[in-house]
Amino acid sequence: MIKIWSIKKDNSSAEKKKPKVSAAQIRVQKDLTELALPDTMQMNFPDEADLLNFNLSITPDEGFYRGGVFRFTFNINNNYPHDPPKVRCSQKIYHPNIDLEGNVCLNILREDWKPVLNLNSVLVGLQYLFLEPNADDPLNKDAAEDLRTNRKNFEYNVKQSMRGKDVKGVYFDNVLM
Amino acid sequence: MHVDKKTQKYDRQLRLWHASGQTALETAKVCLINGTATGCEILKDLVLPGIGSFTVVDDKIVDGSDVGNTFFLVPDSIGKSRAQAVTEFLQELNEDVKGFHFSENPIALIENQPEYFLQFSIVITTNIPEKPLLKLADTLWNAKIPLVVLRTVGFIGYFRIALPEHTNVPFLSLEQYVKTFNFDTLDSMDHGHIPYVVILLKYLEQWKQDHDGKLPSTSAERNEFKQLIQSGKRNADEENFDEALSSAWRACTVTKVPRQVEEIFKDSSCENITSESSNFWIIVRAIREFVANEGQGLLPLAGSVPDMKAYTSGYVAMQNIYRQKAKEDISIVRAHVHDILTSIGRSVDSISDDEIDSRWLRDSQENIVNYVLIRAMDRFYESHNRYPDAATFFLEDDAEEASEEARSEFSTLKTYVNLLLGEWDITNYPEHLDNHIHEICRAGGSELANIASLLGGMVSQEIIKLITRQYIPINNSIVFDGIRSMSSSYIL
Amino acid sequence: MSETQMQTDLQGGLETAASKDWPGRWSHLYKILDRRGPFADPSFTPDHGDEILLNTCRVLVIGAGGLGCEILKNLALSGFKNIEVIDMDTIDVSNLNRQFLFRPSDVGKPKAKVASEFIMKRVPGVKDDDYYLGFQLIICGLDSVEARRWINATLVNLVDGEPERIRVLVDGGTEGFKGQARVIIPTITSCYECSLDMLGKQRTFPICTIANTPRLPEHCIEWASAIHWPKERPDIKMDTDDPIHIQWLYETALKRAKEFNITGVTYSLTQGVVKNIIPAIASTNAIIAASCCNEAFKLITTSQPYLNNYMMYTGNEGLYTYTFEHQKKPDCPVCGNERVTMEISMEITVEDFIEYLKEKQDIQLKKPSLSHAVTNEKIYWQSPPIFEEKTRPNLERKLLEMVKQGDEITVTDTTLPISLQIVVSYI
Repeated sequence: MIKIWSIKKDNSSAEKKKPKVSAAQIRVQKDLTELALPDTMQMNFPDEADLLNFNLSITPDEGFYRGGVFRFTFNINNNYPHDPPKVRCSQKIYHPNIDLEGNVCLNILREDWKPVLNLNSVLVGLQYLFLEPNADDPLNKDAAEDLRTNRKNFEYNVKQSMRGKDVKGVYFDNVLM
Repeated sequence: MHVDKKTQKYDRQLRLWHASGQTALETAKVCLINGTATGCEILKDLVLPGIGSFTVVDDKIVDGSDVGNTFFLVPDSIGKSRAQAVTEFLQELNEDVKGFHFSENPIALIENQPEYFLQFSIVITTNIPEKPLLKLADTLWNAKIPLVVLRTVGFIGYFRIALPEHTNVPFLSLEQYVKTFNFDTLDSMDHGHIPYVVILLKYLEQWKQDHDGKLPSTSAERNEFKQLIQSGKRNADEENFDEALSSAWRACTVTKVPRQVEEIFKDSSCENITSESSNFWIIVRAIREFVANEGQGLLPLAGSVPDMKAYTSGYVAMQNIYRQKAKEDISIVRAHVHDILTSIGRSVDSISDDEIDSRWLRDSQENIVNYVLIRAMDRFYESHNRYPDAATFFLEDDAEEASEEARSEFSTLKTYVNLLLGEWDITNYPEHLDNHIHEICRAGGSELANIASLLGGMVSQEIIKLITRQYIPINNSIVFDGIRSMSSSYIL
Repeated sequence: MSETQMQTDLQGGLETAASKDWPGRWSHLYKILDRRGPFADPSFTPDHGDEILLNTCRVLVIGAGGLGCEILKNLALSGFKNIEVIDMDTIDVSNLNRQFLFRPSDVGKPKAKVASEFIMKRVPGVKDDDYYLGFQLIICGLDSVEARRWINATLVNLVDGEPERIRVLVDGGTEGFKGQARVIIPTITSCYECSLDMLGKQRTFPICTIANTPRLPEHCIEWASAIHWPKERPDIKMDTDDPIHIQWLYETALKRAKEFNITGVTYSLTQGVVKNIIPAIASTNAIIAASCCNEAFKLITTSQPYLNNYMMYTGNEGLYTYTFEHQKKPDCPVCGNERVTMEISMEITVEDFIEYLKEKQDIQLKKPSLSHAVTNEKIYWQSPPIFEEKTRPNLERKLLEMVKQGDEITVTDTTLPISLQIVVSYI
């Protein structure tokens, strides 16, 4: 047992200390400086002093989505890593796991988030969505249906959508490089 | 949509016990005997959520020490009726609640007019001596009215709920615990945290229903049973289901005594117990008796639960069930040991309980000693009309500071403790008993505001569970030790 | 949080406690305080506890909600004289089922002010004042994880390598029938951050379930708030305190529930889900607050051993407490940061300093990234590339240009559990 009262109290100097960065900040800093960013991903910070808000672009070099640039916004709050980062796709794209409003269906961004996960896990997860879109957990039901029933057709729709054309009357953003 | 003021006010609790529980609460009538600090704390935690009414029965006149430890009194209350003063302040807490006071000697009331208490849904007593308490308990028991008996002294608190059987509240057993899980309505998070034992039991029950109550016996059936569990899995990541699958074979075997143990039971040393038999064989024989009788062919439960993927609360709940069962089993074994010892003319304390099972005994013994102390303190009160109250403990260097009175206070209380231990046939002397006696002398019958509030919270929570008939109440006593911040539950 | 703090600043409560005492006032407490006990610390001095309780001990209570009300009452009745309260909230009707210092007429007023006024009226001789520093003990009765992480980190950082700057934190929390009380001795015991992964997670549902396969009423409510609102009302910011907004969400969720034959969507559930309302009752608050105050009393008076260091309470299935020592986490981002002082040459460049760190046997870094601990300015970062490029020119600069004598550097590296704080001492 620690004898707290044998430690002499000194109140005078307590106020001189400058505040340090928050635990969330240090954690984000650790996550960022240890990122192993592949060539297919790029980050940029609108305000370089603000590590909690940044953009990510993914340029898949294989799979259905090869040739496109897909942009995401990351928003980390001060309760990180208790709370997961908020990630949205800032373009309107045709993808089974991303809806037209930019919501992303990735388990570790919501129900399976744990404080031991980090930004790298999220990036890997996002990258994977473009290599292996998942038809079983659909957010864009039509796209998932296409992927499940007719891969050729799905592939065609992806190409169309990436060029900014319509798929069944819904127009998508041009994401080609 | 219009949400009325009352729903708004009670929003945070309605989420726990809903309108039905609230209605039950609002029609309940609670009686508190003696408006002590602890008593007032209980009422505070019942008035705030909106109990129907409360009545304080107390003939004490407020003195300075009451105002010192009770939030519901002010210096101006000194000299006034305690029942009236606390009722007025408690009533301020919630305009929906009716408060009554009866400035009458509770002991005389119990003696002369016990039927007075039959108008209440529940009666709480603080600091009532044993004799009138027994009479009150009797009256209430026959009328099926729950009685809560409560004591606090210094850092120690104890309460017990006497609950007539007819009250029909859910007591917890593993079987019932399993039934609290409705797998279909759980979300994925909860579903992924169902303790595996619960998964196994749930599917085993389903299997038995479909197979005339039989267990899976052939390897084909066992595989089929595994398939059944597998089918309940919502996604590949549910580790708890994997745990259940890997233990599925265990659920398929009829639990019985292992063959090696059977061999030991058949050993002639176990068969022929004499006064020369070793402690080991006496204990083995006692366990054999248990298996043949109360255990219905099973060994006493070890009481430890392997770690598994589950929420803490779920795991803890299950651990409690296991522990409770283990405690019950081991006390039966102990009784057998004592019977055997008596039959061969050896004294019952020649085998210490530690030898029978050291683990659970240590767990519960440390806190049960506090119960013994409180009861001994009551005995002291009965004969001296005051509580033990003296500085009896000193550091080694100045041990001679202890006064003659203090020494006698200590030894008198100790005498009562030993008397009780004798009456209850407790033969193993509790560890650090003297230290606990010192603490009771030190506390001098005092009631600390923090302990009052803590016990008040516990008691009021139990009362709410009883009145709303929701959640699972204790069975039937709690001892809280504020020195070590620990509580234990006993069936007393 | 600091901007929104409200401190009570009340004059007139300054009478000495003695003048407010009446015969017998402390007679219960004095039994304990005037006598030695076998479990008490040997340094315990039987003397009414006057020295500590009356004169020197100042307690800060953070949060004047359900726990806070109880804590204030208990501290006042336990003889504490100098108590200060901080709370950021105003009083709401739904507080009245447990926050007993408030009456219906107080709705809308600041909690800290009403609570402290009430306590001073009911328990004479307690004064609050507005010194922020110099508390021996801080008791936290908050419902927000974020606010508790903040105060925890503040107290851990306050220590700054000097043990005399340790301020004990007693933290309580409740949720329905469950709760916990714990004693945190910053830098010595495990801290709030160490146990973050023990917290029950907020209930969240897979967004694809919400979008396509709702089964529960909660799924429908989440759909209304997370998917349908942004689509239908993109220009209006959702305000979960606005009953009209809740009404809209409720009706939307109800419609969706009907479509999928799901029952159970109510106004109250809608409110509960979107505001993440945690059930709260008077009795659990009383238990946890009393346990916190009991620990505070034992800590301050040394009259009994204090909790080491965690007590969990559950009351929904029987009554169960579990008392144990929670272990410090080596990779805790608050108290797991190692801190060393290094003597280095004034001439050293950033590049050479990094090389020096990599070669230093006792720390064994591989790819260290450096920032200024206070300004957060990046000195050199290994990743992401955008910052590597930006900070690469710094490699040739002298460290002294960016880090002054006595300043601290935050170093992160894959080999470190979280970070290393280096205090620079130039020679």
